Amino acid sequence: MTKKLIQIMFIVTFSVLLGMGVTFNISALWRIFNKEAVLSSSWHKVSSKIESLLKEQTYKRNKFIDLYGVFMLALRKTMIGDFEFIKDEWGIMQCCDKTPQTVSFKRSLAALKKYLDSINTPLIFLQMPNKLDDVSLTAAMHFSGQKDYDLMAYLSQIDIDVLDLDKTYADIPITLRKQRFILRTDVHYATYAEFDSAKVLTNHLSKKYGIKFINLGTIFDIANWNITAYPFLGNTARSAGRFFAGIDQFEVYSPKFQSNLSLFNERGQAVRSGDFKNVVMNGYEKRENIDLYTYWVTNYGQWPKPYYRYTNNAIGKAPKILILADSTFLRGIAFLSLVCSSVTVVDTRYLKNIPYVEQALNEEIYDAVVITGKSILQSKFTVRTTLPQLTERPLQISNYWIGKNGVCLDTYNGIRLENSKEISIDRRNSMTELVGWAADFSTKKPLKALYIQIGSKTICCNYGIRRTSVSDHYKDTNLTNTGFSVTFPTAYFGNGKIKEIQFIQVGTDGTYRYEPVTYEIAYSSNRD
Amino acid sequence: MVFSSTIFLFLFLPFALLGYYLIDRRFKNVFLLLTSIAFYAWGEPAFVFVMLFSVLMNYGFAILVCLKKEQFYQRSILTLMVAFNVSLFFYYKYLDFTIFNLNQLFGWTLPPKGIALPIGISFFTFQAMSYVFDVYRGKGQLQKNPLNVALYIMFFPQLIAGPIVRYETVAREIENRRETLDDFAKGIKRFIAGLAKKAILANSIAVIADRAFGYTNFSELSVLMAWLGAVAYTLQIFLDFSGYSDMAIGLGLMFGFHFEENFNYPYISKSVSEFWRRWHISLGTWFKDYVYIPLGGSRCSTSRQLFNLFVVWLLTGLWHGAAWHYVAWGMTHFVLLVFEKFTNLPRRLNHKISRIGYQFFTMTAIILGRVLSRSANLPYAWGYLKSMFGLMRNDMTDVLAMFLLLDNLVIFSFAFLASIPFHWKALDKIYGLREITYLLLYILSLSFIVNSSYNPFIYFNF
Repeated sequence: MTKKLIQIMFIVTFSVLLGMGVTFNISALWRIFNKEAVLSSSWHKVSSKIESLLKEQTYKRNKFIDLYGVFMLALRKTMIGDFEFIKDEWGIMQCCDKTPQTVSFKRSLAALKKYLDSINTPLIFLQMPNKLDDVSLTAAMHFSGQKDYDLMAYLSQIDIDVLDLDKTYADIPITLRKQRFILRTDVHYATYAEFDSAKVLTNHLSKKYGIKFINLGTIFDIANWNITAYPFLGNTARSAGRFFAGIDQFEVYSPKFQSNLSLFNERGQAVRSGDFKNVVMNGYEKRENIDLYTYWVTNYGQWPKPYYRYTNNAIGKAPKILILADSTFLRGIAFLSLVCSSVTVVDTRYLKNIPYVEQALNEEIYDAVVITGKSILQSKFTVRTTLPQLTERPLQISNYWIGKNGVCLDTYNGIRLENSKEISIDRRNSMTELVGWAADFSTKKPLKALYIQIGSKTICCNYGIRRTSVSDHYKDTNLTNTGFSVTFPTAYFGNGKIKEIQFIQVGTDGTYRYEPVTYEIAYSSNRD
Repeated sequence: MVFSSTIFLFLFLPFALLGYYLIDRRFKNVFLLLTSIAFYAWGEPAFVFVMLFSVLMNYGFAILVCLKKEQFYQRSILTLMVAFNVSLFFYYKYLDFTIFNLNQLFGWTLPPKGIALPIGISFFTFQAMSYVFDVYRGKGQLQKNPLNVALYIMFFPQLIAGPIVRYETVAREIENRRETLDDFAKGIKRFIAGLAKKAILANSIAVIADRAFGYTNFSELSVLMAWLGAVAYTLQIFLDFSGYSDMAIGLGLMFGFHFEENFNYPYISKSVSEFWRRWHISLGTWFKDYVYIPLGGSRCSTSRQLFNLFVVWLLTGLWHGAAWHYVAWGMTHFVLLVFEKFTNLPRRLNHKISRIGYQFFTMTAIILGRVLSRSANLPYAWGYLKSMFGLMRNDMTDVLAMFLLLDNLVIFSFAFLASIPFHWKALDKIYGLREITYLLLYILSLSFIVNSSYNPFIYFNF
């Protein structure tokens, strides 16, 4: 009798469990079946998608995962799934990953370096602390965020300044480093790590490049920040549960001091204005349903936007920084926005073939460009490659000077120039275009070539453009093709140091026979 | 749709059971047939029609075979039936393989057809043939109702990965079965046991096998890793397949059907011959009853016996896959079986140590054979086998192999326990404790299923 009763209770309980499975998941099933995106695909994709979505939306999924984690603990496992995550000897959940393919990124970096060198803008690679320091399994497999020594070597090879925070923090004991900088349950860093990294970066920019920041002492004094810790289960632990991976305390930093910032989107439109909390932070702390799974990392910044800019309305004259970064430095960027007049951010993972890096480089002249991140190392981006070809200044072959000859500048960036030997340069424009005409009047023919000298740089102008106004004026059709144009980065004027430019005419006999024609340079406005 | 999925556990099974037990007995078979069609259509909507066509044809063949008792006539019908089923099977499973080999052999450039393999075709084709054969032999009554034939062939518990249910074993139950509480309870337990074997053990161990068999450079595959992978695959295939069979048998019981056992702890076998009496029993007996014995079996000359065994093992290898490494695997077992048959080992071994030694040899042969079936092709299998013995300038061990071994020691222990007839008597000491354990195991299996992104099902490919 007892056996029969147990049998009945067993069947009933199993049936109830099955029934609960249906009841509690029916709404998820209904949502999934009604989802347009699912139903518009082929049946094979639909059935797979439904199964996958149902797994993700299973009622009390997190509880099941916690149970799974407990069992994995009992089985003394450290690996979760099919090489998805491994709990290392420090108790940190590491994300297994393939060795990143950085070839495209290296090419992009090289192009960026070349461009920035031509406009004397420093490029710094910020290497965040190595999460996998002293982890034995790195000998056998690759993990997300693992320091790429091959990339480091390449960066040195092309002379990119690497700010390696492992060296900066070398004196801190490894246990303390892991406690302070690393989140156990997420690929991202602890907030303190990004805070201190931003501080180290600004100090580095200041010392090595003379870039002047203000209020560093105030901004990077942790006493001036409200810190609230929230229990947090990050992205490397959500397949293993809280019992297996442990729980982090995610620190949300908000400033005690006043600030006035604006956020601009990729179209240059202001989307937010106000203080740090309202502009840089996304208000997760105001949510009603804060729990372990609230993803605090994205409480800062504009993930997954490819391009945005913070401007600091209260700081006055301060550096402008361009940062190419992924989500590993969202908080660092937030802190930098308080010490810069602007911080432009490009996440090269989300470009979708739009040249946002070029856009950023065209919109501003930066005091420094910083690159940091892990997954951006597998991205690529384009950099303006249409820099003018620099050449050697043509040699004067003969001592026989004919004297000054015909060079006439008509427009600067489309603006008509008065008949004067002075050009007023607006340094807010990233590019300078000069258009005019020039001829060899001793032979009454077009020049063989025209060069422009700006400081130490010589550029061969685009010469031979049709100018009927010149031939009409001189009533000589030989002077028709005497127009020229030349475009070059305004930065060639060297932050206002260059006071004159010269046009060097090479005559029809191929010699440099005339005195260079000089134009004085004045600056109508600065970029500051 | 697989049994170890949320869609099956949260939607299909509850509604299938509820509908079955609410519906009038007269319509139970129709209901089961419709749910089975829905089950198959979930994964393969187009091939449902292929299967229905196969059902219809075999239904027709069975009727035709019973029309006249004349031997020549009946054998002609059977020949036609076999030709039809084998042709269908050949078209979907072996045509591209044949084209490839013809091209290789004769230098032709015949284009492959790129035909997708319908899930479970190897099982339902054999099942369909079994129906006609058993009707012909009088071991099962001719089904006048085509829906019952369809149900026999398409019944969802065994449709896509077996066991190959012989018609004679379920002929009576199709029309006349009674569902009992005892069967239902046993069915649940069997289902849960299979689910746990699959979702918890097989999927966990599969990770090791896949990593080991993922090496392309054998000099990097350490000896330890190679053996770990081979042993892991040996366990995985058993847990995966026997787990699925357990679930199929359990589901059958829930609906009042009694399927025969498909596995009987094959890894405790003391010989290769015994192994094949314990492993995939339904396939082994199918080939024995429908191929080996009709060819003459053992009741003929030695050379004829050898030929019969050769044919069976060639077909067994090919049944597992349209590739030469499966044939090689089949032939390996042919050689071993012939060896045992004609040397009379291990029966001749009197000493306990020699018997244990032979058992060890059997297990090693099985593991090495698994390498053949797991590999993508023969050259890979050969490289892998050489790595197992350090013949590829590979190290004895490496960091990853040690990590996987240590990380999975407990899982391996459970997997070994699941492979032997281990009965935890402690659970019987308290009434209901065993049942509670099963229910907890069900919830635990659910936690693995909900969390998993990795759910391979090996015998699905057949």
